[in-house]
Amino acid sequence: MTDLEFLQRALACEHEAVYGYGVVGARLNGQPREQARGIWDAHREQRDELDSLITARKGKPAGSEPAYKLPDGRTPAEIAAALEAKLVDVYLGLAGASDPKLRRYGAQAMQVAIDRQVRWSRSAPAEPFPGLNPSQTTPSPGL
Amino acid sequence: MPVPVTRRVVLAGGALVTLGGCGGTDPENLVPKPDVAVLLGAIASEEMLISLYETVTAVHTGLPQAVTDALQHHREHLGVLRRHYVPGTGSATATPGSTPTSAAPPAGLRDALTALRSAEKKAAAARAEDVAKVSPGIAQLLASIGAYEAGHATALGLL
Repeated sequence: MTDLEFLQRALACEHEAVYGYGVVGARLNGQPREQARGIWDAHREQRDELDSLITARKGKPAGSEPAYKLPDGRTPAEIAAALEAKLVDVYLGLAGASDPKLRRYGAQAMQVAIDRQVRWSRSAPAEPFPGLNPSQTTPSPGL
Repeated sequence: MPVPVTRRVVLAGGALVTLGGCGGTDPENLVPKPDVAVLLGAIASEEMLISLYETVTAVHTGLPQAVTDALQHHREHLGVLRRHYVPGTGSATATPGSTPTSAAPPAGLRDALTALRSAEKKAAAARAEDVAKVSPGIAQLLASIGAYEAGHATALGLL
């Protein structure tokens, strides 16, 4: 996968997060609502940043959908945690980009996303290797 | 149409660092030097975290499950990192030249959790910097470990 494709995936996921946090915020009140609002703003900034990174690489940024299917029957906090978990996974891809600056960008974005995921879910990471397939923790056979 | 995002991301850039020798070739010669240096640093970091967790769990009782789980997870990190350094020697002896510092156990439980949190944050920051110095395959492994550490630092702060 190319760096541009990793960026497009991340942008698509940020579009979903922007939409999702709009729904989450509407279902909350008081301080949690303000918290969601702040994160919503942050995702919008992240979305715009990814848009710029894609444009700078002569790509056409992926557009957002009119709506996204969010999990049914979940609390707003659970929805937010699920959105962030998805972002952890997608930014892992970017952490494997050929451009080292994008790798750092992806790694840092993973950490921001998992921080939010933990805060919303009020639980520590359940897996030792977030985003990685267990089979991919084993070195490939030697040459 | 959004790009489907699968739960598990395929590693970029092909395989992780291939270290297996063939025909008697020194395994380290097959690994780009920055990868080796960064791997050694990550291994030392995990050894330090494990030492700290072992100290805390030996001194304090009634610790949250998340703390004991983290100790096991860091051992898994160390095992995987060591396998990437020299495949087939997951139970190898301590990293050459690296001896975990046996810090004095924090006085109280709250101080112990604060120390663990600080160590996790420091390790997470280091892994996020490491990814720019290594090949993409190893970068994703380190990014994943760093994300775990960042998430666990947050969790410790919520206890």
